[in-house]
Amino acid sequence: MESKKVLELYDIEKIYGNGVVANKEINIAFEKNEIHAIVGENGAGKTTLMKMIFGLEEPTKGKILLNGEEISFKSPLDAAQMGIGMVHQHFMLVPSFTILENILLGREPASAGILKLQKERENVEALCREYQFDLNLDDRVENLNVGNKQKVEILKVLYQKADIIILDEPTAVLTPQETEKLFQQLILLKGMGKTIIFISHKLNEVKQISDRITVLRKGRVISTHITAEVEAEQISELMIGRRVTYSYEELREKTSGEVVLSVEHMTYRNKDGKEALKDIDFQVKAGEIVGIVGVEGNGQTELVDALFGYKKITSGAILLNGTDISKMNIKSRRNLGLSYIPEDRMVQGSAADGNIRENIISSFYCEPSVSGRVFMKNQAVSEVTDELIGRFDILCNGADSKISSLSGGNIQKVVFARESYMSGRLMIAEQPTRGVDVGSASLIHKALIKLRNEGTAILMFSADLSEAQAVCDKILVLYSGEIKAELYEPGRITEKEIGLYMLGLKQQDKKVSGGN
Amino acid sequence: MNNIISHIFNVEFIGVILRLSTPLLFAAMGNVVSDRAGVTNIGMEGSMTLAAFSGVAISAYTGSAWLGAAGAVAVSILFSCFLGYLNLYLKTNIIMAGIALNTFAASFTVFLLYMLTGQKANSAAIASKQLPVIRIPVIEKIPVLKEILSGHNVLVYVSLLSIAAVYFLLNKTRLGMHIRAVGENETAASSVGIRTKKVKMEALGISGLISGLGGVYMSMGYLSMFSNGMIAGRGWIGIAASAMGRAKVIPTTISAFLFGVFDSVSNEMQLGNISAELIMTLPYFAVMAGMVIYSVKRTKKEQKNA
Amino acid sequence: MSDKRLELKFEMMKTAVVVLITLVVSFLVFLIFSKEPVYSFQLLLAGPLLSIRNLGNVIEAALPIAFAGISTSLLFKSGLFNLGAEGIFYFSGIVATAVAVQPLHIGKIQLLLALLAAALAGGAAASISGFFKAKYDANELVISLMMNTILYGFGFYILKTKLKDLDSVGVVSMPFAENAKLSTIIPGTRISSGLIILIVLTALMWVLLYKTKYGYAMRITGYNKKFAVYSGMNFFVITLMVHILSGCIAGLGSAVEILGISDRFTWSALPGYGFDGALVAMIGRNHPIGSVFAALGLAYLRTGCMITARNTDVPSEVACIVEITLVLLITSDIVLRRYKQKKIMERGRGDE
Repeated sequence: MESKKVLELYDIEKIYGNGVVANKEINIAFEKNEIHAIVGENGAGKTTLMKMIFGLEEPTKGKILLNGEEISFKSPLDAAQMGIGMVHQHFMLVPSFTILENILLGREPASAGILKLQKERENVEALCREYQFDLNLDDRVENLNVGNKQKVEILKVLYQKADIIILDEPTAVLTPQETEKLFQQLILLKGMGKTIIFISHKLNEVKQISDRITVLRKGRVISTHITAEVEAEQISELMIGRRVTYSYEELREKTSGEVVLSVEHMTYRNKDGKEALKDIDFQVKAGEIVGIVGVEGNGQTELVDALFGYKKITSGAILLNGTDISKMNIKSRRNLGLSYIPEDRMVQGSAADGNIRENIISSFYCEPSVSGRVFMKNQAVSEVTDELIGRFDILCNGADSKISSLSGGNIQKVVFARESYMSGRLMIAEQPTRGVDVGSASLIHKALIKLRNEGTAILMFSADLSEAQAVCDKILVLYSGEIKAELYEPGRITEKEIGLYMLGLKQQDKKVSGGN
Repeated sequence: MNNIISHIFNVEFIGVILRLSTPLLFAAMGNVVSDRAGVTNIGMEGSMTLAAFSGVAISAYTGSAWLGAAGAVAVSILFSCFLGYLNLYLKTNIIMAGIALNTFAASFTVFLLYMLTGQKANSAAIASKQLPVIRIPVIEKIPVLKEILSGHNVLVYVSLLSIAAVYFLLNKTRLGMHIRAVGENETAASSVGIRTKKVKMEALGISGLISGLGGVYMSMGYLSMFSNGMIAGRGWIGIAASAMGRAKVIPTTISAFLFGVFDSVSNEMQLGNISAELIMTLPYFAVMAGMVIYSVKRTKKEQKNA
Repeated sequence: MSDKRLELKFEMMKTAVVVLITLVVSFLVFLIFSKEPVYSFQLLLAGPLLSIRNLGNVIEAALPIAFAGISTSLLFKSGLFNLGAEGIFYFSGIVATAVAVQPLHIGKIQLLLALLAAALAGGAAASISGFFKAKYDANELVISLMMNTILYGFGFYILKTKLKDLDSVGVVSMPFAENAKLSTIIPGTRISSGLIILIVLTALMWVLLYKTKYGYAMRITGYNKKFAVYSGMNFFVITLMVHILSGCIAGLGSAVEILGISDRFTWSALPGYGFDGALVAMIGRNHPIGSVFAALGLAYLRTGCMITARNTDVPSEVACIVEITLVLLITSDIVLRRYKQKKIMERGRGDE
């Protein structure tokens, strides 16, 4: 088949208003009749790039050529009109509408404002037949399973006569069987002259389905390959690359402590009945940092929620210093010495409209050091606040600065300062340095190691492998709800090897003898 | 007691129910439209008050009841859109803005009334027009039906038609489809190029139109003048009926009629000895119970899923 | 400049601008509607200051609104949109009346009993919508509106069947016992000792909100519910308690109003203080002291308009135009927003 360039990106650059460089020097040419995978880690710039192709963001530099002509989009509508459609990771469907209504939404046939949906029915049905979608157009979307919802999304894009279809992590929500069906569908679409842009970080799937692969790292295109000519390991290496390496060996003191957290045969079933966590079993000792790594969506969120108390586990036990906390509320867990740095500092971790003083004591405001039986000890609160501002080098105009006036890194320091202040028994740190500048990140790492040296047990969830390797004493790899590997002295293991576990390409024999 | 029962079960009484349900039905249907777009028209009480006044004032000035009604509805639409502007574009909390606008409307109508007539209680001093009563030719000849269905103010019939109209609007028109999409999943709607703020504004405008008719009915149908405080919480009842009916047309209609029936019963009760005040609270209890039961069910379901 | 001072300076400037705009608007209104606009405007501005009686009127009018304002501001501050003060004002008034009309002969204890009973009744009524909100996240706005009518219905029923003065034509209660009334504290006015209760209450609420653990938890919940839950705070207890407290304050305010200025209970409809309370809570930025000053401002404005109405051709309802201008300007964040943004940007740059 003759290949022809349909969409070309030349030297695309995107710098956000706050100075964050999301994409730089992006050069890619997408061709007709191809499935082109875009791979990269979280934060590599995949999402921003797709938003620019789809008209949700405008590039700050560079040009986009569609069939050889330069174009610029002001909105997704423009992109749609030019034949670019997107299947979002979070479905853009109206649950109470039927399939037909969802497909026609936004471009409903009507005369004098009155809907004539049935007019288009045949066209949609023909489309279903053409692309072999087995759907009943009168079913309500809320009653469909995930796989069929995705089909509706694809159908929507096809109905818009899209020639270029972007799929954002399409398999994240699918079962293996549904994934298989999706792939057949994609191959069919490719054969009919469409261009498929497939965003993923599941390398084995990318390898299976794509014709070419473009690797993104830190907002830039690293390379583009013909899929048949590269190995998954090679791609994995390119994705991870060489990065800022942290080294804190000299800070690490010899510690030995008793078990603080013991998770025993924990299972969690989510609302769809799917086992999001399967027979999770691990321990964290005092003076130890255990890292949990894995590709996003492999059970990390569920694990955090179960440990902190947002979700009730289905079976098993969570022992904190020997006490089963699995049925306790958040306050009781905190009282037993659990602290938590949440992934989303703005939603859970802080009150944007409150000032630093109010934010920095919220998890221990009942402690005798800052409050009496009834009254807050406002003097003491101020002292604590000033001390923490100093100790964590929080850049602000004093304790009365509103959280919303601080930078991301400094807000994270406020959260960290608060959660570490009570020097509890166990700290859960979820992506403690995500979206934080290198300086702040390093400061937070050192503070974590200091806590460890002082005897706190720390469970750290990180998407940043180099961080996990530098900070942790032990790394557990989570893959599809199970712990697939338990790796000691992670600094000595190559990122490549950890990557293989993360991608499910390699599995440790269960229960290799533990021991330090 | 027998006396009361005979009061309730006579044909005239059904007519009373229709007349008292009319403004509630308008308010409830108005709210269905805005609720479905995801904005509660908290300013309903105010838009109905303003409409009731404007209808009287404009009809007195122009000498035409129809011009009065049209002008009143226009005022009501503008008022509702202003609430939308405050909420959607100036980011004012809609409850706060709504309360402020309602309080304003209540006093401002009295202010204007005084400027026009020198009176604060009612508009009896000016010769405003009333909308006509309709006699339906065929039904006029059938004994019982005649008393129930014929001889009401034109807006009584319009309110019944508004049920069908709202149903048609939401389910059969492009705007209605957009309203429902925006209310249910705003990001999905905007992803296909629907301008969600505009749709919400339009929904509020329609909500103002329908509720404005309710206001007009009060001063140009139910009574033939404007009187201070005559809306008396009917806008809030509309909000409650729509909340109770989950903004669905049929359940909301039933809720509105429920209020209308009890309103009529308590009206009749004032003749008897049973306290009308207590009877009057019943539909409010019903709505409260409905809201609570719904919330309990929802919470239980979420807990099961968590 | 510290953030607190910048914020304070900004708030002061904003208030000044809002007041200025409001004054201009009111003058324009007089220009349009009055034959003697300058005189009317003068009366509006200075009328309440002309006599001790006028000044007294301001404070009398402010009292119930201030109670309702504090009650509502506690709810708003905790992120709860409940308008139940309206019904509670009526119902607690009936409860206070029920105590106050009895021939008890227990001296001023009867007054205390009446105040206490009204407050407790208010708290009990508010606990209903509070419970459903806290436990099941039921829409507190709709439920509180339903409660308003229910409380009114019950209150009026009790008034008609149990408390009605049979010698009187209208539906009014029997007269209060002398010992159940609040005493007048400033001669020449009707200002009652309710003012002292208000001052003490305001101070207490300020202490509660800004000096105690409970107030801290309330503020955090109001900022961000998820953050409060994450911090280990108990949303159920906080929500329920705030409702009860706010109900008690509304109930107390009702008793103070009734026993302070009248001889018997005369309300035949909901008094409207609940919505006024919401209005002053908004103007006062949900701060107890702010709400009291907002209530005073609103009362001053309304009294001023009343005096204008007595002496000119403009009805007192002209106040509503001024009120809406004030409230919308304050709640919509349009005034000086650009200015504030600029200041913050400048400072941000200065830091680097």
